[in-house]
Amino acid sequence: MAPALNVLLVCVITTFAILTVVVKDLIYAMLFFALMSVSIGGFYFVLKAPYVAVFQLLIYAGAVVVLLLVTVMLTTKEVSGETS
Amino acid sequence: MVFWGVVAGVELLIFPGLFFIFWLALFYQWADRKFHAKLQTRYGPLHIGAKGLYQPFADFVKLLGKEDIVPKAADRFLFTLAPIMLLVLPFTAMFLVPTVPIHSNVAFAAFEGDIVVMIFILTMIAALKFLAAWGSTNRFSTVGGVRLILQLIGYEIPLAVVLLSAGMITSSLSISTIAQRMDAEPLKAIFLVPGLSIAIICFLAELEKVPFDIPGAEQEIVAGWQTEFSGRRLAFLRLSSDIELVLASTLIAAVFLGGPYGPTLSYIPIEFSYFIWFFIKAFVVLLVISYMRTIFARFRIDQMIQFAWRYLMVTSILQVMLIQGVLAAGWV
Repeated sequence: MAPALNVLLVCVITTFAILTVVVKDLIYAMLFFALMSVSIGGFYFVLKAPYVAVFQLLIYAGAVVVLLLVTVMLTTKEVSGETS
Repeated sequence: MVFWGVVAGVELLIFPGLFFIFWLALFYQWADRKFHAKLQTRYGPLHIGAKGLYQPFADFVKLLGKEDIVPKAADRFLFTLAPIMLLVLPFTAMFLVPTVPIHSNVAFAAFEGDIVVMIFILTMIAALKFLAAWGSTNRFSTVGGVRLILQLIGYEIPLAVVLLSAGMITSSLSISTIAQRMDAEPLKAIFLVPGLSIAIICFLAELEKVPFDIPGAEQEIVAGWQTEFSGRRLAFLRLSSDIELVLASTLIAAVFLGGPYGPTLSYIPIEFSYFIWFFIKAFVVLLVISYMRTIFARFRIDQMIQFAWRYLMVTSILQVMLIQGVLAAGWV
């Protein structure tokens, strides 16, 4: 039971990590990074380290993602039908 | 075994669970609108149900039936993901807060460390609103989303600090345990009064209520980050903001005021006493939030940022120093 779950989580984490690096759109990269951090938090939880898990969620999936959002917000995006 | 499974199912779906939270959210919206209207000497919702009690539900059903438009330029995936996740996250967070615990005396999904997960969910809600804004590819939405993030980095840190300072004085990181210890030793709650006021201010910003409704300022940017949403998606967003209101009042009541725990009489069932205390405390917090949004006018963006970093931040750190001092002196 537990090894199968571990392997599954590792696969999920690896997929999200690769997607984070590969996708072109910044906002999607950030989204996949957040999902990867949440999965790592789940992995810690499965490994019976709940405090590491919750702080992983708070720092990486919470604070770091917000900082990345602030960075993305400073970039510009093409608005529909217009060339700014 | 089967019996407790059924009890857990009922708890999850009906009583302190989804059904109850849904109706409580609509009731809170009604109470908020009615109180807001009374303070402005208006009537507020009036026609549907007794004193307009079913008006929020009628609005919800009406929006569900309206046409759901996705702009051609919008990012379809983000535009669909955001309303669904914005509905799921506050619902999830509600299971971490003790509302009316039935067969155990803690919240449905309580575990040690859930207040940290709560802070994470509150951050994620704001981040998802930004994704919704970015996904709609509209100028008003994008400006609203940018303002939202600017506001988020202002209020997020003081909020996390005061919530964790409540954890420090009760030496627990579980919301249910914090609430129980607050009830057992009310002296601890008295030292947290500055924290309580900071938390209410931060939740006004989180809920985009009036002094901090910069992300949705309708005189400037239509409806802010939710400008492009219509139909079902808008209904979900409205419901999500109502559940956030319930979450805010319940969380403040649980962390700073002892939540559903309180003095009880021996001849009434304990669940009933939980319900009464939960209802009174959370409702008082709701009325305070409603009152604050009536008496203030909107801050400018720079005023909000200055206020958050110059005063909220410093006060929250002082709150932590007060708690540490009290703990070191052995007063609690």
